[in-house]
Amino acid sequence: MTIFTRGALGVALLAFGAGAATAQQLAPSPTLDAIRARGHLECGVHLGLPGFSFANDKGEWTGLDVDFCRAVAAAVLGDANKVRYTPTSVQQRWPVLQSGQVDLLSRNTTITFTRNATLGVNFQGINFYEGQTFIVRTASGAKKPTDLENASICVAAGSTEERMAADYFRERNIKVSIINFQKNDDAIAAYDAGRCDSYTAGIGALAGQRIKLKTPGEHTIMTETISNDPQGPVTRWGDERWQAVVRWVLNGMIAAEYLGVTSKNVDDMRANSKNAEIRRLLGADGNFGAMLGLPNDWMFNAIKQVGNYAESFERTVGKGSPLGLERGQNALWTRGGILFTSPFQ
Amino acid sequence: MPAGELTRYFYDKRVREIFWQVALLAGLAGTIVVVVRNASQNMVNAGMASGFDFLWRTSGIDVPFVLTNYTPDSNILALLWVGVANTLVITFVAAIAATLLGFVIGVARLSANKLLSGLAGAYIEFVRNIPLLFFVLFWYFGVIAALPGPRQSIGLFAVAFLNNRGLTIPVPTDGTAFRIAALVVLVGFIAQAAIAIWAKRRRDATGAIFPVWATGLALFLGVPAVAFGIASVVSAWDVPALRGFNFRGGFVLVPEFVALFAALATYTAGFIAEIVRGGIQSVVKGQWEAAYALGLRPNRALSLVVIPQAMRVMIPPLTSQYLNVLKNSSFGAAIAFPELVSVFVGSALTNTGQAIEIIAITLAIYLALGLAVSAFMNWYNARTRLVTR
Repeated sequence: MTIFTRGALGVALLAFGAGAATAQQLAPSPTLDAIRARGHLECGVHLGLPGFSFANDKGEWTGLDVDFCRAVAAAVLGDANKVRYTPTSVQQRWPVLQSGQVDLLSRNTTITFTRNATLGVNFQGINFYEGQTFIVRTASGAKKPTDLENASICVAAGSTEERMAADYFRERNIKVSIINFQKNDDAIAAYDAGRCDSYTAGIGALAGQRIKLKTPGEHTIMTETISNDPQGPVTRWGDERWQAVVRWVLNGMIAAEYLGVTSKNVDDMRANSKNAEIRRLLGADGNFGAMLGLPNDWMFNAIKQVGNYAESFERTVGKGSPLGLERGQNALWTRGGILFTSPFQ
Repeated sequence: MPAGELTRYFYDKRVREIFWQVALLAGLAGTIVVVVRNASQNMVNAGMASGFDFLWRTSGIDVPFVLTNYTPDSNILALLWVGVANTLVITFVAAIAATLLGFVIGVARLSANKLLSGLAGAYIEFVRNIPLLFFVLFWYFGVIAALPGPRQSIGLFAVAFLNNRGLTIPVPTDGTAFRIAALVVLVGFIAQAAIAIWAKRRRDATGAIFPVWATGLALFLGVPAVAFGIASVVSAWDVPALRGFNFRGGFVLVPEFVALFAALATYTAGFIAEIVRGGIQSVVKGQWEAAYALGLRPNRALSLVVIPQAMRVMIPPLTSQYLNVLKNSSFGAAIAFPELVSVFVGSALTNTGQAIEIIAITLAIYLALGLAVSAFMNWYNARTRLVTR
């Protein structure tokens, strides 16, 4: 080794050390880079489920799952409207995510073991605790799932509901006929046409689907559920930093509700709050945004433009919406629900 | 090797041809290897499961129309066979119905009766200009809307019940008597085929016509009626009974089957009618005149002289219509009829996520079935070809 190469090596080491001291080294995130380069988030949503992902009469996407896409866009790009939605059927959702066509799937999708283990996807938390149940014509007199003996039940093929319903009735030795449609809408249409005695989905999804029926008032959604279906945003394997962004935007929305930060008071909170966690969440103290490679006002933008979890819930599926769902399990643990958040520390 | 010899090889047409063919094959094989290796490596990197082990996993999917001994406890391979069996059955019955209907309409199209030929023509134009999906949905919602709910079922002799959940028919608890009856009927069919061959030989040799239709009537209708009649009397029955939301027991012919069958049959019949018309018209007028000159009546001229010659023209396009029925049966997925695409590409694919394997298997099955249909039709074509002297 000559003097010259030793000198060059020394200079390089020095430069590296200086770089490390000035800026935190971030793991590469091709997804974040791609979102910034194209200027919008690609989000996979439901084909059309009122309350969750539904294009309204002005062609704007609305709903709980859509709100989450908007919050991520606000956190990453500073603008909740910079989202392009890809409506997906039960079957399309996986290839669309796996192939990289969407950055994120926010489409009332249940977390299951095999999906996580064999599809190359990760679930980034829970934005809706769902329970599967049945909708029936009120006139049929069926009150609980076990009343459905010999009933024909319409369901979307490949959904968790398809197998869950089959397992449930088989276990109880109740004979039913399960009719598998390719799309939720086809199954709902067949139920409405009288082909089936019941359609099965989650309570929240049924509240949304009921709006589509010809005479919603003649149908009853059973209150007894047959499963626990935690649902949340999904990303594909790889790109850990992007996965952390998605996970913490969701945590941030729930934390904001717990901490009392809303879209109305978020400016005031950032300027005047003495609560250390609120200050970190909104970027008044620390550099939490920068740690993920985001602007420091990431959660400020998300809450300002979309709202905290409670605001989003009430507007889309809760009392302020045609679905009129109770918070139930989806309330914070401090209010009798099971919604829990991780600390911003 | 001297240079001259090499250039001689280079200019040899045969050597050149072999070279290019080998190069093409090698290129093709190489591409396939690279694609498969890349795909599997990418899937491993993306954390997606691959391989065919999933076929032995428990399926857990309830199928409303099963002809095999599948239950939700069976594995996914068994689910695949449910789909294949349903595809084959619907294709077979729809192809036969479409052929019968198509022949009737095609011959009607040529009728001298203006009303009849006009109606047939209108039907053909109507059918050919409407997408099949519309037909399928039309029949499906039509069938559901036309039939009453389970509590207002149309009872047939109080043992079979028709409602918008399907046609529920009783099944014997022990099928032995029916198996024996089916065997008897099969023997009858073989006897009829033998009689037909004997009658044709005799006619060719002597010109005497044997009333094949009379023995046909006896062997095709009489024998089955008696055999199944006896079998149903001696068997014990699982009679459907209204319980809960619908009838319990018996076998249910689901409305999806009826709708898909009706859609495929009525749709394909329109195309077959045109093939029949074209085939009959391809037989020159002189053949009719020659047949009349020999003293044959019009229906005999049609069946003995014109149709055999028309078949030569009709069979190749008929083959592609049968292939269309096979492929179009996948429209069943739109109305929840559990055929191959519906159960395998719909339910199994989403449950396992193994898209490449499942699509590949499905393609291979359609290809195999299609080739089998073609092979059969080619064999039939070769058999019925006119022997020219």
